[in-house]
Amino acid sequence: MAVRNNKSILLVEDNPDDEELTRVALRENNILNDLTVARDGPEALDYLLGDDNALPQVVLLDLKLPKIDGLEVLRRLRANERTKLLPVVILTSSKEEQDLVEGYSLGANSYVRKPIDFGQFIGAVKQLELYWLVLNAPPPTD
Amino acid sequence: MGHPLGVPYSTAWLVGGIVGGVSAGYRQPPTTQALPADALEALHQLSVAIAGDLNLARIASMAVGHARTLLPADAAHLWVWNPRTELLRCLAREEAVAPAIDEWMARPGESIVGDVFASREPLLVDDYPSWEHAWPEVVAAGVRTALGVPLLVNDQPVGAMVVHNYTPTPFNVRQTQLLSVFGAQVGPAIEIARLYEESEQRRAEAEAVNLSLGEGVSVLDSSGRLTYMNPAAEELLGWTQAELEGHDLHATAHFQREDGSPLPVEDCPILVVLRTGKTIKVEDDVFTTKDGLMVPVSYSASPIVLHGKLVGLVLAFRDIEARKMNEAAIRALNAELEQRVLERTAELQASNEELVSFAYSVSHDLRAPLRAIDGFSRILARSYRDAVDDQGRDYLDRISAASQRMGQLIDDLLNLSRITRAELRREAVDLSALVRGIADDLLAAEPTREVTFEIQDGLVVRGDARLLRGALENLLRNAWKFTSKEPAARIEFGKATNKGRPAFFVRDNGAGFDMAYVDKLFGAFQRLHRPTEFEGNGIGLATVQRIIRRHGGEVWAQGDVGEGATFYISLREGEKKPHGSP
Repeated sequence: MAVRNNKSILLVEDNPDDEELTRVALRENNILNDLTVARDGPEALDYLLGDDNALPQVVLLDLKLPKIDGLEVLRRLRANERTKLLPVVILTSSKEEQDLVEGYSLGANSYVRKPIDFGQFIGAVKQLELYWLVLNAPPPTD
Repeated sequence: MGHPLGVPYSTAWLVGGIVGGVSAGYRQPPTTQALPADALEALHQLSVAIAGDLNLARIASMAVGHARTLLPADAAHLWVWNPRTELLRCLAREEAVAPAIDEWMARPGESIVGDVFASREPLLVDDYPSWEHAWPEVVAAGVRTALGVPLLVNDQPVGAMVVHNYTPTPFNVRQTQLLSVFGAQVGPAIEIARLYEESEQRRAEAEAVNLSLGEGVSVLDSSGRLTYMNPAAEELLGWTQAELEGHDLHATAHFQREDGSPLPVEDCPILVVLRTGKTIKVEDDVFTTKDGLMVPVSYSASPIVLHGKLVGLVLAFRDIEARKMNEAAIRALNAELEQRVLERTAELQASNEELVSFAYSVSHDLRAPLRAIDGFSRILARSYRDAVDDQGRDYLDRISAASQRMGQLIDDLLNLSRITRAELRREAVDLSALVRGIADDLLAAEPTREVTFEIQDGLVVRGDARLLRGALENLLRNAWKFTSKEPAARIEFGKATNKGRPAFFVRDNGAGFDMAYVDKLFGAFQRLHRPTEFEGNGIGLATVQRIIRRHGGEVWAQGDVGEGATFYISLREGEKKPHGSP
C-alpha cells in the first residue's frame, strides 16, 4: 500500500549517509511523500520561515547540525507564529538525557533515536509515518 | 626517750648511775643559781663570735667548740630542724662521736636529740650504753654519759645540742644550766642563719628560674617603677636592668598603642593591677624598645602582696612577633590554598565539561558511521541479494553484527562515563525489591530458562536508586549469563558478613572464575571468558565498581572455575539511617 499524499516531509540532516538511509527507509515503508532536505540549521530555517514554501507535514530534525544546531532551530520554530505548531520529530543519534529533556521542553512532538540496526530504523520510520503522516490531524492553518 | 617531768629523777639517776642496771634519762629541776664569771665570759665571747654571722655551718661549728671547752665535755654535736623535710640534721660535731653522724637525720622524739627538741627540756643520761634509746653507733664510739638541750627561739625549738663524756662522769646541774643558757643564745643565731640560708636558696632558685625563662619578667613597685627585670626582659626591651631600675616602665616602654597613638597611664592595663589587686592577662599589646621599635607582646601581671598590703606587681611577657607572623603565614597559606582549590575546581569543571562534550560527540559522531555501515551492508544483503554469493552474505552479516557490538560498546562506555559525572541522589532504596524486579525481567525475557532466584527480603539502604539498580542489574545479568550452561541454575541475593564486614551479595552456581585473575575482574574491557563462551565487552563490572565506589563502598568477588561466583558489595555504614543526611 503506497501512501501518497501531497504532504511533504522536511528532513534536516547534514550527513549524506543518514540522508540516504532515511530515503531508503522511507522507500522501504512505501512512503512516497516529497522529501526535501535541508543540510544545516540556517537552510532549515530559511525554508520553514520564508514565505516561498508551503509548510511540510512533518519535520525530521537532526540535532547535530552545522552553523545552527537542531535544538536552536526548534527554539526559533517555536518562537515563530507560522511554525509554532508545526510537528517536529527529533531524529538523532544521541540519547543523551540533556538532549531529550531540552528537546521536549522546547516543544518537540516526538524524539526518536536513530538505531544502529537498520532493520530497527526502518521500523521506527514506519511508526513515524503512521503517526505523523496518516493518523495525525495537522494543526489548522490560517 | 627521757621521762617526762614529774618522774622521780633521783631514782632514775640512782638506778642508771650507781646500780648500773637499765638506765634512764632524767631531767634537772630548774635552777636559779648564778652562772660563774668564767662561764659568763665564755658566753659573751660566743655572742661576739656569732653576732652578725649568717653562715649556719660556721655558727654551729663555733657553738659546739665553745660548748665542749666551756662545760667541759669530751664531745658535742648540734642539730638543726629543717621545716621542709621535718627532720633534724646534724650540722656540726666536735670530736668523733661517730664518724657517720654528720649525715644523720633524727626525727622528733628519736634519741636525745629528738627528745629534747620535742620536749623543749634538757635531758641527762648518766649511763648511755645501757639507755634503751641509745644509738648503737654512739655507744660504739665509747660514749658513756650524755646531756642534751633544745635550741629555742621564743620558746619554739629550732634544733638541739648534745654533749658526751667518754668517761663515766655524768653531767651535773651547773653544766645543764650552762648548756641550756648556751642553747638559748645559739638558737636565735642558728635560726637567723637558717632563714637567711633558706632565703638565699630561694633567691638563687628564683634567679635561676628567671634566667632560664624565655618570658620576660619584670617587677614593679607600688608606684609602677621597675625594681627587677630578668635577662629575657632586658633582651626584649633593649634596656638593661641598671638602666631601667627605678624608672617608670609605662613611660619608658608602654606609652603607645600599636597604631602609634599615646596610651595614657589611666588606660594602662598593667597599672590597673596596682589599683585592683587582681591578676590580668593581655593577649595582644605592644611594648616599645630602647631603639623605639614596637614589639607585639602578650603578658600577664599579678599583684605582689606583703602582709596584706599591695607592694607592687610582677609582669611576665613574651614576644608574639613570631606567633603573629605564623598567623599571617597561615592566613596567607589558607588564602593560597583556597585559591588553588578554586583553580583546581575550575580545572575539574572544565575537564568535566570537556568530558561531557566528548561523551556527547562520541554519542553522535561514533554512532553515525556505524549506522551507515550497518545500514548499507543490510541494504546490500537485501536489495542486491543476487549480486552476492553465500559467503558474501555471511560477510555482510558479520559487518552488521560487528556494528551492533560496537554500538553496544559505545552505549556502555557512555553509560560508564555518565555514572562518573552523575550527581548522587541519596534516598532509601529497597534493594530486595530492585533485585526481584530485575529477576522478573530476566525470567520474562528468556522464559525457556529454568533459574531459581532466592532473594532475602527487606534489605534497604540509602543511595542513588538509579545507579544502584544499574549495579545490581549488571551483577544479576552476569549471574544470569554465566549460569546459562547450568541445568539447575540458582541465583541468590542477600546480606552476609565477608572479609569482616557486612556486605550484600549476588551469588550464582554458574561458570565461576579463576581467583588468580580476580584483580582483572573489575577493569574496563577486561574479560575472563572468550566471546564464544560468554558474550560481553568487559564494561559491566567496571560500571558496578564505579557505582559502588561513588557510594563510598567496595565491591569484591570470590569464585572458582565451575563452582560459581559471589560478588560482595559493602556500602558505607550509616546507610540505614532513615533520615540520614545526603
